[in-house]
Amino acid sequence: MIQQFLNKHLKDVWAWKRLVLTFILVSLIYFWYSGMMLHHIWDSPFNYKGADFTYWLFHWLRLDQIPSSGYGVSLFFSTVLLLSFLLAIVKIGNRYATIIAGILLLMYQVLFNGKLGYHTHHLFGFQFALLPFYFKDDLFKASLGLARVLCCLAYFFAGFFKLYQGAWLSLDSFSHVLSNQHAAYMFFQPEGIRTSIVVYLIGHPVLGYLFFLSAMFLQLFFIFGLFTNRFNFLLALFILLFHVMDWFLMNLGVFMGMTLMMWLMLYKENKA
Amino acid sequence: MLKSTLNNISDIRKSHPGFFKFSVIVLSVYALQMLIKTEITPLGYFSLYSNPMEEQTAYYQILPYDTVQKKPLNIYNTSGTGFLMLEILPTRYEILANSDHCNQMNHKLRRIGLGDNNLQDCQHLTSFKTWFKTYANSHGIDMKHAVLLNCGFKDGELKEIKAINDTAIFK
Repeated sequence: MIQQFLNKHLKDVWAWKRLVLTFILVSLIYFWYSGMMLHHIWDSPFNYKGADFTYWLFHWLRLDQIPSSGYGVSLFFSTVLLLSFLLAIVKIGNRYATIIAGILLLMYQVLFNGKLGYHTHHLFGFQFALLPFYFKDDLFKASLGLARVLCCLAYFFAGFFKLYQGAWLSLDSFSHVLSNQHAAYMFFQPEGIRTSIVVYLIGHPVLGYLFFLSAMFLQLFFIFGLFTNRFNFLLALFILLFHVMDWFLMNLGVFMGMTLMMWLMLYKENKA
Repeated sequence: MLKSTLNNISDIRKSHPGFFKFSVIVLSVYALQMLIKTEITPLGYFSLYSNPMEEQTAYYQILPYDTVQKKPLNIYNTSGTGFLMLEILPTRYEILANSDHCNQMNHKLRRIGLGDNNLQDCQHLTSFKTWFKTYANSHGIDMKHAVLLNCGFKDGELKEIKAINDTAIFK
């Protein structure tokens, strides 16, 4: 039924592209509203590079000096970023407009994380979702395949690390994770629906453990996406399920943007 | 299944060698990052919560604490997901203040023969608390009488407050 709806309303690749770009634009507006754009933390004392080559490259190229140049420069950057996505939507057939928007998004991701002091990854799903639109038409199918591989690798390794590092071996672990994650939240919002459910899960560690285990298996299932397109619809559903759980149980709604990668799984190539 | 995947890869290699090289480079960067155990961009993020966690006597979070009303300030009423910034920024301050040259991943860099030896990052961090006051104020948190403190909670109750451990950057 969902697939039929998508086939009816998203008839060609341009409709999908418009949807992807609009989703990112709306997300960026929401980040602006949430105080999460570069100009909101331009003068933060952090300049964190960690052990990530991309951040060091930005440092060596002195690109990390952009926010420190002043509030006006950072505000200008944030505005240009939003306008670039608006332009990419208006000029939907222009590949270069999309590439420019994608590069600015990557710059925002790296510069913002540097000033945040933490390499959060709530934006990489946008990069994967945009990847098929960077290449010429004859490479659409291949680049879509690469984006699917990158998406499946990301989710599979998430499950793999959970399996390898042994959180699943401890029945109570997820209850303690919930206690830690919502320590202050439960103090300030004792009456909320989220608090009620979290408190229930903390009190019933086996149920919490089953949630954790189900998330791990959802992620491990993405290994099949590397070899076949047969499970694409299921994988799209898993992405949605995982992030809804992540938002509700862990209060990490900021990662809901990652659900944009569902399009990589839902797109039917014969509609191109 | 595997055979058809390999055939597809072989076809792309012949028909679009440039794109094939691009794909190999992207995947090689990931593989290299895994091999030398640096940060994996972006594969690593979901590895959060993959280690088992033990029960704590209290679960700590650094929060603005009103010294007049003697209570932590609610950061969860900020616009959208702005509360995450108010959670992350002070937590990262304490972590980085206690890291080698204020780079939490310096041990990973040193392991591969590199290393972040700059002194500026730590010097800049000394102004964090002043900066955070302005930042939190601009997000609707009244910081007039507030200081950042490590608040320990258990079962929805405040059990303990203690100072942030940041003495390393002031030595």
